[in-house]
Amino acid sequence: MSKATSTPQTRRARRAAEREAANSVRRHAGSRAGRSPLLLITGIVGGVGVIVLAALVLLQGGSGATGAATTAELISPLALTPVALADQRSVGRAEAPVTLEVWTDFQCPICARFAKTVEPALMTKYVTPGVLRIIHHDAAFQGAKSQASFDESVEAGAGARCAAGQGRYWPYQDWVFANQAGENQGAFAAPRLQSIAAAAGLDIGLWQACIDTGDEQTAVRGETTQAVAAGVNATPTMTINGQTIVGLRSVDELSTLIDAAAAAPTGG
Amino acid sequence: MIEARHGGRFGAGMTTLALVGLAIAAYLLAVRIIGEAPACGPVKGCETVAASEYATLFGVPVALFGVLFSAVLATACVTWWRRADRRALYASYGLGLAGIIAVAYLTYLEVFVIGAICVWCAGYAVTVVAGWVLTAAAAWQTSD
Repeated sequence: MSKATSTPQTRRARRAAEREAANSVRRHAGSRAGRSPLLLITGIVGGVGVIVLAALVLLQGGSGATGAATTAELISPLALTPVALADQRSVGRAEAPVTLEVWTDFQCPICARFAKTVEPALMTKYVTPGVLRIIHHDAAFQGAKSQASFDESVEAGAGARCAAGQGRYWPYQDWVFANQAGENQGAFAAPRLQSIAAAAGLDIGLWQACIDTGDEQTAVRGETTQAVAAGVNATPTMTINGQTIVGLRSVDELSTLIDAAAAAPTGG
Repeated sequence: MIEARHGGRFGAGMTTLALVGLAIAAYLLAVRIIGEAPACGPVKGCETVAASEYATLFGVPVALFGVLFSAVLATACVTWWRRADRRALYASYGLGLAGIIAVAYLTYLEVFVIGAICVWCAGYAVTVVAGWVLTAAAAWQTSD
């Protein structure tokens, strides 16, 4: 190889050659302590990462999605729905000018997001001042996707109706949605559902007796059938004074619709 | 032998993968902020994963960590690609390794805890792993 062919001719090529030479020096320096800095990086990042991973997995406590759970293992709702204006599965003054009806499934993650993030804001902004009444309906779709005989959507819905019988539908809803963990994965298996009901403050003896009749499961299936007949095929589906909205909407979007409905003539 | 290259080997591929990861993370963060569920198409599971409590860490959306991570990684990859600076290559290597550990944990949560797979998250994981493989190859092939 001649000197003439190995000497860079342009400034750009010379700078690149200088960078490469500097890199080469760094590589040789690294090779004295081992193969290269890659080994050191791998050791540090890998070691720290494995330690952090192990800690997270241990804190996680393995799979929490299935099987029974004690109340202590459940996740507490961030906030409980105020129940002063609650009546069974509705909340708000009966004469409120705007009615928001919600078709919901306790296994539906978007329904949970609606209940945990949008509904509390609507409660504060519209329900408490008497502008809005919210009514929940069953649309227990998710459980039908499973071949299991125990339909977690229907059972959770039945549990909600039994909770409503004790005047605690809304706390039960808050606890159920806070403890979703996959669909048809056992999050709402009978023992865990009972733990959730206990956490929501229900009289478990009465609640379980209500569940065991099977009447509320029949009611959930009946309302779901009615919903399908009315055109509901996704959850959450809502109506605001009869205007249908499918899917999750932000507080701002729903506020616009509620304000418009409240300002509209009543037609009387 | 000194080889006068104007860019780092595999730099373009590394940068492209980091930018794809950045786009995915930015999309997941955007839908999180506006309160929508990620569009899953025929593959279900995004809604479940996005609505789970594991979608946030210390109250911060996990997608935000993804955006920040991918932005830093993309910067390191671009620096290696355009300037052939081995410090940027080592930074990409270390970041990529940390990223693999993080996406491995998140994938574990999806499969064994949440019980649902989010295709966007899986796609992000693929970009992180593939990007790190390219980075390791670049480091190996450009070493003496």
